[in-house]
Amino acid sequence: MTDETTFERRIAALLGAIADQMPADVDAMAMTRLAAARRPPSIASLRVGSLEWSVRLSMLGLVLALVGALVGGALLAGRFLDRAPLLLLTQVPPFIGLPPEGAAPSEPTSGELVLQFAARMPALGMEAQQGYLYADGRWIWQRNLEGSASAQQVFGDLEPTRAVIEQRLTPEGVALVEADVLDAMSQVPGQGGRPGTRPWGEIAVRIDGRLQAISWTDEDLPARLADPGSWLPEAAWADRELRGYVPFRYAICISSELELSQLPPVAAGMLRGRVGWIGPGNPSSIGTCYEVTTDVAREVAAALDAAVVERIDQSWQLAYRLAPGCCDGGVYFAEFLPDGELLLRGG
Amino acid sequence: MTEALVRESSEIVATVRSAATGDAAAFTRLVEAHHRSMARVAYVIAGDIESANDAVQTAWVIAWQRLGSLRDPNRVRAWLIAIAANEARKGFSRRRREGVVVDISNEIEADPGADPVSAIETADLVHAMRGLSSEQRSLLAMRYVAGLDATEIGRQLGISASGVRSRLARTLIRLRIDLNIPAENDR
Repeated sequence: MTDETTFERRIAALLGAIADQMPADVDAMAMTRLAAARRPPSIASLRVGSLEWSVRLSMLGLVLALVGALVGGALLAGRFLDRAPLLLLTQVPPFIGLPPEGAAPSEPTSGELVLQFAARMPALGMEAQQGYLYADGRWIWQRNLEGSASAQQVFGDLEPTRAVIEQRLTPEGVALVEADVLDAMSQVPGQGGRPGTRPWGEIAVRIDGRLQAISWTDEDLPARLADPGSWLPEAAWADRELRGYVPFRYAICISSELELSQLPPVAAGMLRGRVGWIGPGNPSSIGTCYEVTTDVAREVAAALDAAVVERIDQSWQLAYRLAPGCCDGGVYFAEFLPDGELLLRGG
Repeated sequence: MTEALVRESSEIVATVRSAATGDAAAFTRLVEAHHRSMARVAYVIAGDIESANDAVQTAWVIAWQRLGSLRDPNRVRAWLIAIAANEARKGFSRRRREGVVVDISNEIEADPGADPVSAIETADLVHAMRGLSSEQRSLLAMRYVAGLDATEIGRQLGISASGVRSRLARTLIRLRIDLNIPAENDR
């Protein structure tokens, strides 16, 4: 690469001239304050490795029961229908991992995030939760992410699940939630501390067109955000049904200690040639992520299954572990959210 | 490695390690040292100042969270640039999906003192870059604006150095065609 051609040198010079148009003055101290306050450590940083085996097994049982019910339902439907099932599922039941065949991705494929929420309040029976509210009304959330004995505890009027759920609010509903958060906001955004550390909680809301972390004094606010069905009026809901969130695309992420070449050749071949990146919010154990379509994600999963790579028995995402002693790393399938962020939790 | 380089390396390592533990002063030193490089790379990828600023701001937020996972503090510059490039790339892809066409030429102000030939070439490059993918723009910016070599780019992106070189070569061929520049007599 040191043997640059004249053309390369010219391109470099012109790109440098273009880059010079970018004003790069920065108040470094203000940027530091913003970085520390705006987007607090993701819920992904809540490690789940300490999950009790008994809990793991019970959760695995729950997932298997859910999968069994889905498969059984599909078989029954196939037996009694005299034509092929619909190819496009627009109302997808909650699921873990990859969506059922034919599931339509959540629409629209992109969205403006207006509120992000993550909290755990054990005293209220509320384990780790995370939620994302979009301007188009989508309320996408996941809960019971922490590996404690009460991880499957019911909170509010919601059934226990670790699937990524999508509900939809009306524009009025979005405005109500935003107003509730802004009313409860106690300090100028970015200026306050993080009062929700015990119990732990983080809330960021759109202010002046930007998502900004806030502080609050209303102790009930996290609980209201964790269970908006308990206080929002019916008119706030465009679709209150709990549906599985079907992402537009997936990321396949591999552990930082793993090289792509250590994956089974077929799976590695499907990812090779794609530009990988270190995804935002990744748990520290996750190195590089590759953006793929859902179909490619299925093919990679099938290739890993065919190579008899062990599925990690965690019940909140599809994940694999390469043979211990060989590579000691994992492969994780993560959903893209409408704002382009990855939904990752633990690893 | 000279004594001065060793001392500089030690200072970088100390700064990164302090910042990773939440030392705001150390983090501020990182911002002062690297913000400009990140912003320049983000601008070439994103195509407009506002999007580039958003990308770099998000990159610093990510850096605050993830600095502890950086295994080699001496690579902090490349790591930060890769994060900024990735954020800019994501924003560019998202806006392109939404039909918001980014035109970097709208942001470039004519320099009345500039050589007209040079100005035309810049405009031509801007025009040619519209046809590139966000990944190709990202590679160009990391290589030619940030000055990272193929090995470092590959390390940050999780691909081989030869993979970086071949992608860059393809991107340059594409630009050469779009700019109608013959390949001969090029060294």
